[in-house]
Amino acid sequence: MTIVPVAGLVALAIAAALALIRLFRGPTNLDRIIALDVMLVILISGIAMDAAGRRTTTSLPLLLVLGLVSFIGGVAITRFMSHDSDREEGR
Amino acid sequence: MSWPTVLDVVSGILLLLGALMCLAGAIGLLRFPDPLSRLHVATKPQTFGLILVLAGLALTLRSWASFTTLVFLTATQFFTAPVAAHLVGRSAYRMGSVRTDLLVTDELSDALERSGDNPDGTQPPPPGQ
Repeated sequence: MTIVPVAGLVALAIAAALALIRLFRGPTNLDRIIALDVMLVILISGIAMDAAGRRTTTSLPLLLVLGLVSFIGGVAITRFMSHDSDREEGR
Repeated sequence: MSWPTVLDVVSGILLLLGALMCLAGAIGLLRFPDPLSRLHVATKPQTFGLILVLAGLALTLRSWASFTTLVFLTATQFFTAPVAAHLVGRSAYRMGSVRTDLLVTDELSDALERSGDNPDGTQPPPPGQ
């Protein structure tokens, strides 16, 4: 059963690369926030995949913390980013 | 076929499906044209893929402690992902980065127009002044 976590991690790595491209290109900061959220979900999935491959429960608290931090971070950035902060720079 | 083998096979299938869901969400994130559709693809397939991966992990670990932890993580994802997506969508609407030519219906703009309110939350000047 070691091929399943490796294959899953490869798919997640491709997904993370695509999200990074969107994070780099994203025309507005909102797209970057969405891409960052997706990145964190992919990171959680990757750590869970690694835990399934090793059959260890060590990283389960890490999954919880990452899930809560991604929510708080996304909401905080969205609230702080008030009106049109990225349009005034002419992008 | 023994019982642990069945559980291993099922958890492997769930892990692979979850990873492919995450990949599909990332492809949609790259391909879709405006923040609302990207939000759509960033919340639904991603959360579903994460839940599939966590279910596969729970079937791999097979202990009650890890099962309750993963259920709690899934529940927080269920409750926090819509809130974050709602905030981003609200901000996108207020900043005007929603492409209205791609929308099928725009009930919020109609309702705001009917109530005489501006999308950015400021009150219009009262009539007759």
